[in-house]
Amino acid sequence: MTPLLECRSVTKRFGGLAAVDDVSCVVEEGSVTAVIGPNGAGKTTFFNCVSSIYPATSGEVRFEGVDVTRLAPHVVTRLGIARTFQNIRLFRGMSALENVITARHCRTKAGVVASLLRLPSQRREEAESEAIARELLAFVGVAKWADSAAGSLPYGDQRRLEIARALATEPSLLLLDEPAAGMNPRESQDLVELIRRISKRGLTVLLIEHHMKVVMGISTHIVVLDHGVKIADGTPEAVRNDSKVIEAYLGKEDVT
Amino acid sequence: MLQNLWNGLVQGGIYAIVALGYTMVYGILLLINFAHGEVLMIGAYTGVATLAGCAGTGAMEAVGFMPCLAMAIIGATCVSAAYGFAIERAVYRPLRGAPSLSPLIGAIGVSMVLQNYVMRTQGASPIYAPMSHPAYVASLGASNWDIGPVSIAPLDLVVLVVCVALMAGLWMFVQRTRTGTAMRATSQDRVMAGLVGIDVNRVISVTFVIGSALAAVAGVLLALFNTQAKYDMGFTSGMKAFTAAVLGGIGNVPGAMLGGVLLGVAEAVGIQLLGAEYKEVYSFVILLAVLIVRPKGILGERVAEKV
Repeated sequence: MTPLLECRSVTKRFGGLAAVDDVSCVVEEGSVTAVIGPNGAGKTTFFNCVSSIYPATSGEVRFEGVDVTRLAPHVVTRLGIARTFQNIRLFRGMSALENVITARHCRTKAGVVASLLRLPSQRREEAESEAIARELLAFVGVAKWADSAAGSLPYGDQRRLEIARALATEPSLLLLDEPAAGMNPRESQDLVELIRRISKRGLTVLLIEHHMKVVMGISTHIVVLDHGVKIADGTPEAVRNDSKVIEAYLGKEDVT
Repeated sequence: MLQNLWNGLVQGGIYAIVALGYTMVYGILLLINFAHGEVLMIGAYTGVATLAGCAGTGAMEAVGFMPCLAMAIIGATCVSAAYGFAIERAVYRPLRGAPSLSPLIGAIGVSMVLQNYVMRTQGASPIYAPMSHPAYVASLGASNWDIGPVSIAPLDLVVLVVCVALMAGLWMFVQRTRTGTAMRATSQDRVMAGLVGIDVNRVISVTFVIGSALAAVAGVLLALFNTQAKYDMGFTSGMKAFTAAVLGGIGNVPGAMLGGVLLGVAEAVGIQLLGAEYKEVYSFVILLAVLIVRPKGILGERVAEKV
């Protein structure tokens, strides 16, 4: 069976710097895979390559067996990859509900004429989009903010809203870039719960995370990057005891 | 005074629909499309040529002036929209990733090319709208209505109705349709818009097509106002509309509408107080004042990028 996501020797260079250097890995369908590594390890760059914000310099990203390395972001989204950002990127001027409805764009098709004349087909589609959006807002727990401007939500809820918006594109693979960043222990516990529920919906989750508690709590598989290079790849237990990982995080033991 | 205000309002309506083109493009690409005035000029030429054609072939006698005007506006809209689409594809899209000065200079280049192209092919002297034609005289050439101290010309009314209808239509489009929502999302965060499944290139093309179509309508109306179309008419009207867009807050759709109307009225007041000789000066004084005092404009949120 082909894995959901397969990266083959993905490399991304910025000038002379290889931010991601020859990374190969596989994300199995239904897994919760975490990408960890010290700051500057190339995790976000790796995410950007997978979600085609920019193409990899070399190597290949295959999603459901299709080469998506050089496709436009909206095409990749339509194929079923969605993501959130480390620094939240909501459409701040729109309401929370509108943010999620906007993300239905690739799954709806009402034309300009139908929309302006409010034809029944368009009204049905609009009502359906809104229902889905409201359901998703409730699912991530921000239903009460539906009509508030997205930028005015409390920080943690903005993160949740971003997840709802990503889910609205009906992805099969969800990329979360540091979803627990800036959250207190209680909030990150809630987040772990949310990710579990997302996973139960049948989505595959690929996340970058620094909170080890979060990572160890939910991941079924972990990929470790350091200086753009993959240094370990395996189950949480295997990664936790890997000497290279310990070295990357804590430094080398002084032998003299 | 009231008469001047009315004239200013009508003029402002035209500024507003041209300003919308500037503001929509800026909202999405952070680009001042200096070729926008030339797109307007091409619309004006097409419209006037269509009207002249109607008058020359006798079609205007047969069906009357208004159907010919409708045809002129539709023709101008199509031609200008095609130009807008082509300009974006040929010049701005290849420069999308370049430093922001490059597309700006590209825009000035396009503006010069179009002006000179029209001057070479159509001649440097203006072409005239057939406003002495009996069909025109019979419809819009009728005598003015006097309401109190204000005398309203039929043409003024047509201009105002068309401008208001276009603004309302655009507002509905932006707020209600899927493409309109995609446009709003793209103008807030282009990368993110792509990631929620919006084809950003398509949205940008649509933006140029709509902006150019609006400019074309404005061009035809302006040509009727001035009874002529000339190769360099895009420059002044373009700069005025740009001023209106900046005044309202560039990148902001209601701001462009407000800015256009305000500029028209401010000009009228200026004419009243200081005389019509300095008509062109007022708008640029306003532009300078806005840039100095409130660069983000009346309704603008973000400070305009340096260009």
